Amino acid sequence: MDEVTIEYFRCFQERQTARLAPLTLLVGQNSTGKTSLMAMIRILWHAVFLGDQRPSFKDEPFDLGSFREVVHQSRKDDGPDQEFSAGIAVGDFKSDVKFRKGGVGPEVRRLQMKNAVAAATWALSPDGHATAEVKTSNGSWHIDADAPDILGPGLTHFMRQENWGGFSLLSHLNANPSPVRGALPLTTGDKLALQGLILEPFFAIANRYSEKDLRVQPPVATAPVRSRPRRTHDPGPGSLDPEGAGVPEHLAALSYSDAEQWKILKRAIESCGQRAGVFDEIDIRPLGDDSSSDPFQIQVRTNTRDNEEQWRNLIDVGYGVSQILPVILELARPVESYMLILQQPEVHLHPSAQAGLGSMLCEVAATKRQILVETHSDHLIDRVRMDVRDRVSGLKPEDVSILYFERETDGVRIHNIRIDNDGNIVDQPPSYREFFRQELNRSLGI
Amino acid sequence: MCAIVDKNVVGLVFSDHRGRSEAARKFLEYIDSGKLRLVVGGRLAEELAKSSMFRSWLAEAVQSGTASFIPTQKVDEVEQRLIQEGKFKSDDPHVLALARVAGARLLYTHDDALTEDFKNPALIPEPRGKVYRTSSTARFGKHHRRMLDNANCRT
Repeated sequence: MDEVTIEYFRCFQERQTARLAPLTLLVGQNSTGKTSLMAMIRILWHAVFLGDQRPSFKDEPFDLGSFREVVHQSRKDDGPDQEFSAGIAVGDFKSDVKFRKGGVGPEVRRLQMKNAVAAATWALSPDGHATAEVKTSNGSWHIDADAPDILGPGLTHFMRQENWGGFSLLSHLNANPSPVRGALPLTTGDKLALQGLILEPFFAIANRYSEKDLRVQPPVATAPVRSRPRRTHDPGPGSLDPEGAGVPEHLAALSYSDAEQWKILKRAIESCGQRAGVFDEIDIRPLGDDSSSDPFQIQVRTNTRDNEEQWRNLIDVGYGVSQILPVILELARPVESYMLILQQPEVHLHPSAQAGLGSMLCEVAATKRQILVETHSDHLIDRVRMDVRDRVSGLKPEDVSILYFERETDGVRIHNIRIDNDGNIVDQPPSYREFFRQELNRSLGI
Repeated sequence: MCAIVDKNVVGLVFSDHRGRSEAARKFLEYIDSGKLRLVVGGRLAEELAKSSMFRSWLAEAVQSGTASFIPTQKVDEVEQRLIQEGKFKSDDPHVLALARVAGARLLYTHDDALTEDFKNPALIPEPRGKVYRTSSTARFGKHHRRMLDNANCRT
């Protein structure tokens, strides 16, 4: 994604656009909407790419509450007309989604998608009447759910509330060569333009990350609230959750079931662990003969220059190491979703490990996936600046975006800050890091 | 808007507030407010870094974007060209080189020879360089404010 636009959403009142880059760092005081923006990016992914008319606003780790908590306070007295909007842009593709109250939470009432040659709009009236319109340079075609015979079953499918997204439109266009009675028939060029509109963001993503297939998995998000580390674990399916609870079981299950894949992942995790300076080696130690039922431990060790330390249980090497493991696993494992959302991955880490984490993020963002990071770590940001300046990871200055969230009287403003070729911060507002400068000047007596 | 602080005034600007002149205080305020960006690089960075107070201030200023580092290699290359041309009178070609690389056109210094060089269009081409000069007791005047308001920078 290249941009996200929001209006009347949570603490954001006026329409504003945040630039997203392969590595985007979200900074600012507490309660300025950083988490809300990350949640909205995942919601938009579901709405625009996967066609969810009621994308969840409560999925872990982002629980935004009911509609009243989600719409900006200035819109709370608008009765049934309360709405907020958001959109994403990928390359030439732009989308805009209007949300209104539907049941308890928000639901999509209108979705507009456009690029340079085509546009498609789906809208739902308050009485549940769905319409759609597609447009190319040759004309526009209006589609009405109340007249399905005009359009054929494919497009009716496209407009059904439970399955109305872009891919359905694509299926319809493929299945229905003459969709609209009384209008100009869609030419092959029109259909190609509309197919291009829908496929463009997926191709853009695939090209950017040299992927052979079009991945539409929603973003993976992890939060700083982690499950309490344990000394021993019981074998299990190891489903990964945002709190990292299933990480040990996931690693153990892989090591028992697929030695070759485990070897590859183990090496990748160890490489990340070394970069972050938290451990050099990691292993699974079963506590019995039957790996399918006996408990196991996660053990790590650090090889210092003069003294090889013994293997130690993950729980014995400090809270930070166990807390960073889910993040390391997410960075090291094969990509399932091209976008990764991290909230304060630096929590509990020593500054040197925070800096190392910054380097890891640069490496992954340069080659594998787009990463959004909410952070309060100067050490992480400084390392990103320096790695970009020194061309360490291949991440270029334009590949990094710093979003600074500033609280103002009527809401929060997002400032788009850049890094230049020399690693310097540019386009920052006067208020950026004002607190830190004032504190330092006071400390120095200047 | 970019500016350079010479080594002979670093102690005036980055000093205990009780000993700082009004003009020096205003200069620092302009930088802290983001209206003026301090550029640092090359040999001048080494000279300024001898002040521990400046070092501490700079670390935060770079993170805040109120100061920029210019890579030493870039400054050194221009300095070598200036030395070959031999048109300057001061012993500070590294300061002139920094101004040319960073596009800084405001210099805070008390050095007479460097002042003359900085205002020489053959050394600092358009826009012309301006020098912010004060004595330690100088008050901040209109001409100082105009100078800070109109400083130019290419970074």
